[in-house]
Amino acid sequence: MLNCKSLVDQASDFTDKSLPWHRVLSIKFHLLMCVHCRRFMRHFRTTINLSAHIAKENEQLSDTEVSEVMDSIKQLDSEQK
Amino acid sequence: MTVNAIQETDLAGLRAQNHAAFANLVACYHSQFKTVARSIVGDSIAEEVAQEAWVSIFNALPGFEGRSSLKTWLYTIVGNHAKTRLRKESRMRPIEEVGKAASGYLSDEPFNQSGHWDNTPALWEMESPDALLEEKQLRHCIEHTLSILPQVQRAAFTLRDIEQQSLEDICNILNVTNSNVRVLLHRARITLMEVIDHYQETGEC
Repeated sequence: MLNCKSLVDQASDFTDKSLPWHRVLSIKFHLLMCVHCRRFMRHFRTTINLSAHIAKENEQLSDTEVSEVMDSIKQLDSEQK
Repeated sequence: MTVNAIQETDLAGLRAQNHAAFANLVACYHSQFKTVARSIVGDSIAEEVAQEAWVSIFNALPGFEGRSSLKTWLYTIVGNHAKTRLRKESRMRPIEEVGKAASGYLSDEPFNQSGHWDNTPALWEMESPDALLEEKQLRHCIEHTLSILPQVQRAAFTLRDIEQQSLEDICNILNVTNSNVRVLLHRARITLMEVIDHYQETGEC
Protein backbone atom coordinates (compact mmCIF):
# COMPACT_ATOMS: atom_id res chain seq x y z
CA MET A 1 0.00 0.00 0.00
CA LEU A 2 1.38 3.38 -1.05
CA ASN A 3 2.19 5.71 1.84
CA CYS A 4 2.18 9.53 1.97
CA LYS A 5 5.95 9.86 1.64
CA SER A 6 5.94 7.81 -1.58
CA LEU A 7 3.16 9.98 -2.93
CA VAL A 8 5.16 13.14 -2.21
CA ASP A 9 8.24 11.59 -3.85
CA GLN A 10 6.24 10.74 -6.97
CA ALA A 11 4.21 13.96 -7.17
CA SER A 12 6.18 15.30 -10.15
CA ASP A 13 6.09 12.02 -12.06
CA PHE A 14 2.34 11.83 -11.41
CA THR A 15 1.85 15.40 -12.61
CA ASP A 16 4.02 14.82 -15.70
CA LYS A 17 2.18 11.58 -16.50
CA SER A 18 5.41 9.63 -16.53
CA LEU A 19 4.31 6.77 -14.28
CA PRO A 20 3.08 3.31 -15.31
CA TRP A 21 -0.68 2.79 -14.99
CA HIS A 22 -0.54 0.61 -11.87
CA ARG A 23 1.32 3.35 -9.95
CA VAL A 24 -1.12 5.99 -11.20
CA LEU A 25 -3.91 3.79 -9.92
CA SER A 26 -2.36 3.37 -6.47
CA ILE A 27 -1.77 7.15 -6.21
CA LYS A 28 -5.37 7.88 -7.20
CA PHE A 29 -6.60 5.32 -4.69
CA HIS A 30 -4.44 6.85 -1.96
CA LEU A 31 -5.74 10.34 -2.82
CA LEU A 32 -9.30 9.12 -2.37
CA MET A 33 -8.44 8.04 1.17
CA CYS A 34 -6.03 10.75 2.34
CA VAL A 35 -7.18 14.32 2.86
CA HIS A 36 -3.63 15.54 3.65
CA CYS A 37 -2.22 14.18 0.39
CA ARG A 38 -5.13 15.73 -1.51
CA ARG A 39 -4.18 19.06 0.04
CA PHE A 40 -0.52 18.44 -0.81
CA MET A 41 -1.31 17.73 -4.47
CA ARG A 42 -3.59 20.75 -4.73
CA HIS A 43 -0.86 23.03 -3.36
CA PHE A 44 1.75 21.34 -5.54
CA ARG A 45 -0.22 22.04 -8.72
CA THR A 46 -0.96 25.61 -7.67
CA THR A 47 2.76 26.12 -7.01
CA ILE A 48 3.67 24.98 -10.52
CA ASN A 49 1.06 27.15 -12.22
CA LEU A 50 1.73 30.22 -10.12
CA SER A 51 5.53 30.02 -10.39
CA ALA A 52 5.44 29.37 -14.13
CA HIS A 53 3.08 32.32 -14.61
CA ILE A 54 5.34 34.68 -12.64
CA ALA A 55 8.53 33.41 -14.30
CA LYS A 56 6.99 33.81 -17.74
CA GLU A 57 5.97 37.40 -17.08
CA ASN A 58 9.53 38.26 -16.07
CA GLU A 59 11.17 36.64 -19.03
CA GLN A 60 9.82 38.95 -21.70
CA LEU A 61 12.55 41.37 -22.85
CA SER A 62 11.88 45.11 -23.05
CA ASP A 63 12.19 46.90 -26.41
CA THR A 64 15.54 48.40 -25.40
CA GLU A 65 16.90 45.00 -24.38
CA VAL A 66 15.71 43.50 -27.66
CA SER A 67 17.49 46.27 -29.64
CA GLU A 68 20.71 45.63 -27.74
CA VAL A 69 20.58 41.88 -28.36
CA MET A 70 19.67 42.41 -32.02
CA ASP A 71 22.69 44.74 -32.47
CA SER A 72 25.00 42.16 -30.92
CA ILE A 73 23.57 39.39 -33.09
CA LYS A 74 24.06 41.50 -36.24
CA GLN A 75 27.64 42.24 -35.28
CA LEU A 76 28.35 38.59 -34.53
CA ASP A 77 26.78 37.57 -37.85
CA SER A 78 28.90 40.03 -39.84
CA GLU A 79 32.05 38.86 -38.02
CA GLN A 80 31.29 35.26 -38.95
CA LYS A 81 30.77 36.05 -42.65
CA MET B 1 3.31 39.70 -26.92
CA THR B 2 3.87 36.57 -24.90
CA VAL B 3 5.81 33.43 -25.58
CA ASN B 4 2.64 31.63 -26.57
CA ALA B 5 1.85 34.31 -29.07
CA ILE B 6 4.21 32.97 -31.73
CA GLN B 7 1.61 31.78 -34.22
CA GLU B 8 1.77 29.93 -37.47
CA THR B 9 1.28 33.24 -39.25
CA ASP B 10 4.54 34.49 -37.75
CA LEU B 11 6.28 31.40 -39.05
CA ALA B 12 6.05 32.60 -42.64
CA GLY B 13 7.69 35.89 -41.63
CA LEU B 14 10.37 34.04 -39.73
CA ARG B 15 11.15 31.75 -42.65
CA ALA B 16 11.46 34.87 -44.83
CA GLN B 17 13.90 36.29 -42.22
CA ASN B 18 11.59 39.21 -41.53
CA HIS B 19 13.34 41.56 -39.11
CA ALA B 20 10.31 42.37 -36.95
CA ALA B 21 9.26 38.74 -36.66
CA PHE B 22 12.78 37.75 -35.66
CA ALA B 23 13.01 40.59 -33.09
CA ASN B 24 9.74 39.31 -31.61
CA LEU B 25 11.23 35.84 -31.33
CA VAL B 26 14.27 37.30 -29.54
CA ALA B 27 11.99 39.20 -27.15
CA CYS B 28 10.10 36.03 -26.30
CA TYR B 29 12.96 33.57 -25.95
CA HIS B 30 16.25 35.30 -25.18
CA SER B 31 15.95 35.04 -21.38
CA GLN B 32 15.06 31.36 -21.57
CA PHE B 33 17.98 30.79 -23.98
CA LYS B 34 20.33 32.22 -21.38
CA THR B 35 18.78 30.00 -18.69
CA VAL B 36 19.45 26.92 -20.83
CA ALA B 37 22.97 28.06 -21.81
CA ARG B 38 23.82 28.95 -18.20
CA SER B 39 22.89 25.47 -17.02
CA ILE B 40 25.38 23.94 -19.48
CA VAL B 41 28.29 26.40 -19.76
CA GLY B 42 27.88 28.53 -16.64
CA ASP B 43 26.97 32.18 -16.23
CA SER B 44 30.02 33.94 -17.68
CA ILE B 45 29.50 32.98 -21.35
CA ALA B 46 25.76 32.23 -21.35
CA GLU B 47 24.92 35.54 -23.07
CA GLU B 48 27.53 34.91 -25.75
CA VAL B 49 26.28 31.37 -26.38
CA ALA B 50 22.68 32.59 -26.61
CA GLN B 51 23.71 35.22 -29.19
CA GLU B 52 25.65 32.67 -31.23
CA ALA B 53 22.58 30.46 -31.21
CA TRP B 54 20.46 33.35 -32.52
CA VAL B 55 22.85 33.84 -35.45
CA SER B 56 22.54 30.14 -36.36
CA ILE B 57 18.78 30.28 -35.97
CA PHE B 58 18.44 33.35 -38.18
CA ASN B 59 20.45 31.67 -40.92
CA ALA B 60 18.67 28.33 -40.55
CA LEU B 61 15.09 29.70 -40.38
CA PRO B 62 14.41 29.56 -44.16
CA GLY B 63 15.05 25.80 -43.97
CA PHE B 64 12.92 25.17 -40.87
CA GLU B 65 10.69 22.29 -41.93
CA GLY B 66 8.46 22.08 -38.89
CA ARG B 67 9.29 18.46 -38.14
CA SER B 68 9.43 19.45 -34.49
CA SER B 69 7.68 22.43 -32.92
CA LEU B 70 9.41 25.78 -33.37
CA LYS B 71 10.13 25.95 -29.62
CA THR B 72 11.76 22.53 -29.50
CA TRP B 73 13.81 23.38 -32.58
CA LEU B 74 14.99 26.66 -31.01
CA TYR B 75 15.92 25.06 -27.70
CA THR B 76 17.72 22.19 -29.42
CA ILE B 77 19.88 24.71 -31.28
CA VAL B 78 20.77 26.68 -28.15
CA GLY B 79 21.47 23.44 -26.25
CA ASN B 80 23.74 22.21 -29.05
CA HIS B 81 25.63 25.51 -29.14
CA ALA B 82 26.21 25.35 -25.41
CA LYS B 83 27.38 21.74 -25.54
CA THR B 84 29.77 22.49 -28.43
CA ARG B 85 31.17 25.45 -26.52
CA LEU B 86 31.61 23.30 -23.45
CA ARG B 87 33.66 20.78 -25.44
CA LYS B 88 35.66 23.45 -27.30
CA GLU B 89 36.74 25.17 -24.14
CA SER B 90 37.17 21.91 -22.21
CA ARG B 91 35.03 23.43 -19.53
CA MET B 92 33.66 21.41 -16.68
CA ARG B 93 29.92 21.47 -16.47
CA PRO B 94 28.68 22.79 -13.12
CA ILE B 95 27.59 19.70 -11.22
CA GLU B 96 24.76 19.89 -8.77
CA GLU B 97 25.01 17.97 -5.55
CA VAL B 98 21.97 15.73 -5.22
CA GLY B 99 22.24 14.90 -1.54
CA LYS B 100 19.36 13.98 0.70
CA ALA B 101 17.35 16.95 1.96
CA ALA B 102 17.72 17.55 5.69
CA SER B 103 14.29 19.06 6.15
CA GLY B 104 11.06 19.73 4.29
CA TYR B 105 8.97 17.52 2.03
CA LEU B 106 11.96 15.74 0.51
CA SER B 107 13.27 14.60 3.89
CA ASP B 108 11.88 12.03 6.33
CA GLU B 109 11.00 14.85 8.74
CA PRO B 110 7.27 15.34 8.02
CA PHE B 111 6.55 11.59 8.10
CA ASN B 112 6.28 8.93 10.78
CA GLN B 113 7.99 5.56 10.56
CA SER B 114 5.31 4.07 8.37
CA GLY B 115 5.68 6.97 5.90
CA HIS B 116 2.40 8.71 6.75
CA TRP B 117 2.12 12.39 7.64
CA ASP B 118 3.34 13.39 11.08
CA ASN B 119 3.43 17.10 10.27
CA THR B 120 0.66 17.48 7.73
CA PRO B 121 1.06 19.90 4.78
CA ALA B 122 0.63 23.53 5.85
CA LEU B 123 -2.83 25.00 5.53
CA TRP B 124 -2.99 27.79 2.96
CA GLU B 125 -5.29 30.64 3.85
CA MET B 126 -5.23 31.70 0.24
CA GLU B 127 -5.51 29.01 -2.40
CA SER B 128 -6.94 30.71 -5.44
CA PRO B 129 -4.24 31.37 -8.07
CA ASP B 130 -5.74 34.80 -8.83
CA ALA B 131 -5.60 35.87 -5.18
CA LEU B 132 -2.05 34.53 -4.86
CA LEU B 133 -0.97 36.49 -7.93
CA GLU B 134 -2.15 39.69 -6.27
CA GLU B 135 0.24 39.19 -3.34
CA LYS B 136 3.21 41.41 -4.17
CA GLN B 137 5.41 40.05 -1.41
CA LEU B 138 4.73 36.46 -2.48
CA ARG B 139 5.54 37.36 -6.08
CA HIS B 140 8.83 38.79 -4.86
CA CYS B 141 9.54 35.59 -2.85
CA ILE B 142 8.90 33.39 -5.90
CA GLU B 143 11.01 35.61 -8.19
CA HIS B 144 13.85 35.51 -5.68
CA THR B 145 13.62 31.73 -5.28
CA LEU B 146 13.66 31.25 -9.05
CA SER B 147 16.79 33.41 -9.26
CA ILE B 148 18.68 31.34 -6.69
CA LEU B 149 17.63 27.87 -7.84
CA PRO B 150 20.59 25.77 -9.01
CA GLN B 151 20.98 26.55 -12.72
CA VAL B 152 20.14 23.09 -14.03
CA GLN B 153 17.00 22.96 -11.87
CA ARG B 154 15.99 26.36 -13.19
CA ALA B 155 16.53 25.23 -16.78
CA ALA B 156 14.48 22.05 -16.23
CA PHE B 157 11.68 24.11 -14.64
CA THR B 158 11.74 26.63 -17.51
CA LEU B 159 11.64 23.97 -20.21
CA ARG B 160 8.95 21.85 -18.58
CA ASP B 161 6.65 24.17 -16.64
CA ILE B 162 6.89 27.31 -18.75
CA GLU B 163 7.66 25.93 -22.17
CA GLN B 164 5.81 22.60 -21.83
CA GLN B 165 8.61 20.63 -23.44
CA SER B 166 8.46 16.84 -23.13
CA LEU B 167 10.80 15.13 -20.67
CA GLU B 168 12.49 13.40 -23.61
CA ASP B 169 13.19 16.70 -25.38
CA ILE B 170 14.48 18.25 -22.14
CA CYS B 171 16.94 15.34 -21.76
CA ASN B 172 18.25 16.01 -25.27
CA ILE B 173 18.43 19.77 -24.87
CA LEU B 174 20.21 19.71 -21.50
CA ASN B 175 22.09 16.47 -22.08
CA VAL B 176 20.89 14.87 -18.86
CA THR B 177 19.29 11.50 -18.21
CA ASN B 178 15.56 11.00 -17.81
CA SER B 179 15.86 10.16 -14.11
CA ASN B 180 18.04 13.24 -13.60
CA VAL B 181 15.55 15.56 -15.23
CA ARG B 182 12.76 14.17 -13.06
CA VAL B 183 14.79 14.73 -9.89
CA LEU B 184 15.74 18.27 -10.97
CA LEU B 185 12.15 19.19 -11.72
CA HIS B 186 10.83 17.73 -8.49
CA ARG B 187 13.40 19.58 -6.41
CA ALA B 188 12.67 22.89 -8.11
CA ARG B 189 8.91 22.52 -7.63
CA ILE B 190 9.19 21.42 -3.99
CA THR B 191 11.55 24.32 -3.21
CA LEU B 192 8.99 26.75 -4.66
CA MET B 193 6.14 25.07 -2.78
CA GLU B 194 7.99 25.35 0.52
CA VAL B 195 8.48 29.07 -0.13
CA ILE B 196 4.72 29.48 -0.59
CA ASP B 197 4.09 27.37 2.54
CA HIS B 198 6.37 29.65 4.52
CA TYR B 199 4.74 32.77 3.08
CA GLN B 200 1.28 31.50 3.96
CA GLU B 201 2.44 30.92 7.51
CA THR B 202 4.50 34.08 8.12
CA GLY B 203 3.71 36.59 5.35
CA GLU B 204 7.44 36.66 4.54
CA CYS B 205 9.89 34.87 2.25
